[in-house]
Order: sequence, then C-alpha cells, then structure tokens
Amino acid sequence: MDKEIAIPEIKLQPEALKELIQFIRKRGFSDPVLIREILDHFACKTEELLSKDPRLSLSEAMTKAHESFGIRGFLPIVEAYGQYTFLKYKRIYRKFFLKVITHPKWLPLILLTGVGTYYVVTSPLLSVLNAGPFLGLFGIGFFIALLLMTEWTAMFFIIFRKTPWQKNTLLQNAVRLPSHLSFIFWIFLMNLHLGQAADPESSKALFISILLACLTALFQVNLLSLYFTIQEAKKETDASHQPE
Amino acid sequence: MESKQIIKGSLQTMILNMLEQHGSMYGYEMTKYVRKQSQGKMVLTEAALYPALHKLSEAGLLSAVYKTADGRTRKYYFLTPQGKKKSKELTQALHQAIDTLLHILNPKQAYG
Repeated sequence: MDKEIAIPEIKLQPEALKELIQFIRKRGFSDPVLIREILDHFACKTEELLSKDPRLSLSEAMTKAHESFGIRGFLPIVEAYGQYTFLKYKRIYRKFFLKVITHPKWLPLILLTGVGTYYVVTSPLLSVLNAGPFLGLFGIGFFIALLLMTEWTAMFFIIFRKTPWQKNTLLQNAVRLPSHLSFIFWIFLMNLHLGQAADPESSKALFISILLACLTALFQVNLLSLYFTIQEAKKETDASHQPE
Repeated sequence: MESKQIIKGSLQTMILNMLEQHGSMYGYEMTKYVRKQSQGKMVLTEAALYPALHKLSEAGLLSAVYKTADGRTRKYYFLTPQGKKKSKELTQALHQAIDTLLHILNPKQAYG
C-alpha cells in the first residue's frame, strides 16, 4: 500500500465558519445547541476536503462534506443528541423532585398545599357551589383544576418570555416529562369526589379527599421540580452559543 | 459485508478502547483514527458513532467537555473511572472471543 502523503491542513476562518452555520440553518437546524453539536464535525470534514483538493470552493466542499454524512445528513447526530438530553433531563428532574420534597424551604409549602386542598374538598360549601346552575355544568373540580393550569401557564410565561421556545431543543426535552399527567387524574378524581356529596361522611369520600390532597401536593412538587429543570436547560442553552 | 456486522457488534468496545489509549478524543478524530488504523477498510459513520457515544455517556462510562478549538466549540469525550474499568473488561472479552473464533476456524493452526 502506498505510504500516506502528509496533506497540509487547511483551517476554516471565522467567516467560513459563519457560512457553515448558515448551511446548517438552511437544513432546518437553527437551535444554537444543535448547531454546536453539528458544526465541529461538519467543519472538520470540510477542512479535510479542502486540504485534499484546494481547487474546491467552500460551497462545493460543504456540499460534499454534507453528502458524506449519508442520506439522512445531520439527522442522526440531532436525534442521538435529542434522546440523550431527554434522558439527562429526566434524571435532573428526578434529582430536583427529591430535593424539593426534602428541602426545609419547600416542604412546608407542599404540606400546606395538601392540607389546604383537603379542607377545601371536604368543605360543605364546595358541594353547594357544585350543585349551582353555572358550576354544576362543568363541576367545581374542573374550575379548580383550571386555576392550577393558570399557575402552570404563568410559570411558563415567566420562564419563556425571552426564550425562543419552539426552536429550543433542551427546553423541549426538559418538559417532555410525563409527570404532569397527574393533573388530568386530579380533574377526574375531583369530580368523582363531588359525586360522593350524597354521603360525605363515607369512608370512600374521606379516602378520595385524602387522595386529592396528596395529588395536589404532588402536582405542586412537580411544578417546582419542572421549574428548576427548565432553569438548568436554559443555562445550558445560554452556554451553547458559539465563540465570536 | 459480513465483516461489517461483526465489527458493528464491537463498536462500543472500540470507542472505549480508543479513549483509553488516547485520553480524550472528539467525534471526527475518532472516525479519522478508525479509517487510518483499518487502512480505509472500515468507515465509522456519524450515524453509528454519535448514538453509541450518547449511549455510553448515558451509561456513565463516558463524559464530555466542551473546549474552544480552531475557532469553534469542540466536544471532547473521555472515560470516567467506571468507563476505564469497563474498557479493560470489554477489550479482554473481545480478544478472547477473537481467539476462540480463530481456534474454531483454523483448528490445524491452533492445535498444530
């Protein structure tokens, strides 16, 4: 086999790197986090092609380098990174969940939420309101659940008001968590509880009241844990911008 | 073609072993190293490499750090202590598997 000839290495200048970034954006990847994952490998391949054949234009080298990634282009890198970050943020979420339920700052708030919910759902006033002409249509449980959703929405608004949410891979993966499904279960239970109004002293009604209280407290823990997880994702996104 | 399937099964071992030998490497460097060491017979594609790297990271065998190199951010992978231990185990296991296969395929050479 012929001895490999040493090829002088070409290094891309900042202006050329900007063109590579534009090339990546045109392929549908504008998230700075994804650009960070793709750019270096893409740039190295382009540099190798230019070093082997200096007659190639930058545009031709970029096209050839992109083709060498295969039929799916940059997608395998993006998908692998997406799956990795989803699992990573799932772990981070669990870490915050445990921290929140054991932290002396948050634990009283969570207990207060649970106890408060218990007293609200066992209040006779709740059954009276539910029997009324307006709330009776949807059930008071639905409106209390709506209140909690408003809290959730407000949290998202506060965190995301300056963040390009749709194009943020890390944030999308941070919130792709199933924990808030407990909210839907909460609505169901709330209405089931109010159906027990005919015999509020029954052990079944008591059981459902306690379950609702626990679920509300869990929902609060979930919101807090998600908030902290999203903050971590935001920090990592901010750190991912390419050097000037 | 068949050799590709055999090598595919050893990808994670290869990655761990490369990092054990070199300390830290970035993705493109790994593909170039494999191409050079195999004299062009094996091409480590990005579609194979990056999912493997992320799987190994998720398993706690690798970690990564971002550094600035050549005017852009470069991600260097390196073995965790757990990864170093696993690399030795898997490399040894692979060598033994290859020896065993050679004995089966070339019994005259093995036993004389």
